[in-house]
Amino acid sequence: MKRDDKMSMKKKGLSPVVTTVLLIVLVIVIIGIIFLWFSGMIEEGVTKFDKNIQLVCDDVRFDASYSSNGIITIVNNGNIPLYSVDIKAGTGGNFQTEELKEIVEEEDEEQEPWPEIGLTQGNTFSGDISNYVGDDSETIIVSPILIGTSSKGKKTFVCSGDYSEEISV
Amino acid sequence: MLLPAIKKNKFPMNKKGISIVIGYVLLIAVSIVMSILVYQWLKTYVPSETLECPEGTSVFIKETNYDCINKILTIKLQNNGKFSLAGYFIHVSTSPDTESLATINIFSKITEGGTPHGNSIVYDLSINSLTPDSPNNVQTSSFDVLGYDTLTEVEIIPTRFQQEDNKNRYLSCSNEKVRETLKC
Repeated sequence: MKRDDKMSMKKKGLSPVVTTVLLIVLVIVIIGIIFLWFSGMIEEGVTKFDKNIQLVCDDVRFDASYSSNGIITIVNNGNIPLYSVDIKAGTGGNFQTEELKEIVEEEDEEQEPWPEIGLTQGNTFSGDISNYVGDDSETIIVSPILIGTSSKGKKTFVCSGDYSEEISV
Repeated sequence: MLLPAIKKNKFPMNKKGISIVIGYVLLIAVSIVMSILVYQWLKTYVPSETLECPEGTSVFIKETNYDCINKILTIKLQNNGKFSLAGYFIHVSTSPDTESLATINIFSKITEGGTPHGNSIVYDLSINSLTPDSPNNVQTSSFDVLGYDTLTEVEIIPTRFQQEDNKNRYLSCSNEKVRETLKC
C-alpha cells in the first residue's frame, strides 16, 4: 500500500514566487510606515551650510564691547553672518536674557535697529542698552544666534557656552 | 500490529504567537529604518573643513599717514605672508582708549587705492592681486575721513578669494587682524 504523498496535490497554498513577492512588498510597506512614524517622533537637527548648526558655531568670530555710556558694539570679524545676538546681563546668580534687537527697539525706537538680515561679514552694530543693563550688572554675556534650516523651515540656534563673549561692565 | 509512533509536536498547535516569518520581516524592517534615521542624523555631525584663510596668510601696516587737518588717512599695506590677498576690512576708532574696539567702517570713504566690495575694500574684483611677491606686495589706499572725530586707531582684517566646494568665496582672515595707533 503506497503511503499518501506528503505533498498531496489536493493541499492548497500559495506559489513560492507569489509568496516571495508578497514578502518583499510587505517589508517595503512596513519600512515606510515605521520610518514615517519614527521621523515624526525624532527632533530633526538644524543645518547650516550642509552641516549641523552646532558645528557652525565653531566658525563664528565676533568682537563685542560695552562703553561707559551704555552703548554695546558688535563687530562681525568672521565669515558666518550673525542672525542676532543674545544679551545676558546681571550680577551674581541673577541674570536676564533677551535678544539685542528687541532690547534696542524697546530702548529707543529712533535708534538704528538691528539689521534684518543679520550682521554680515565685516559689519558692525552699535546700540544703546543702558536701561536693560542697568547699574547693578557686573557682566554682560553676548551669545551669537545663527539661523539654519530644518525640515520645518528656518530655525534659530543660540551658540552659548564657549562661543559667548563675556564683557565686564 | 505496530502502533504508530506518537510524535510529540515541539510546537503545539494550540499555542498562539506571531508567525516566525512575520517576525523576521518586522525585525529587518525596523533595522533598516533605524539605520536610515541614524545615518541621516549623524551625517550632519560630520565636521567639514572650516571656512578660513590658509595658515601663512599675513599682512602688516607698513605705513600710515593721518592728516588731521585735511582729514585724509593714507595706509600702505604689505603682504608679508605666503598667500595672495584680495583686500581688507578697515575699521577705525575715535576713542582715546586704545583697548577699545575699532568699530567705524570707513570702506565707503576710500578715494584711491581700492574699490568698495560689499563692506570691504578690494584691489581687484574676483582675484587676489596683493601677492606676496614684490613689487605687487605693497598697496597704498587713501580715505576721506571728514565728518569723523579725531581717529585714534585703525584695524585691518585682510580678505581673500578662495575656491571652496567649486564656489569662489570671499573670506575674512580674522585671525590675521592688525592694528595701528594713529597720530596726527
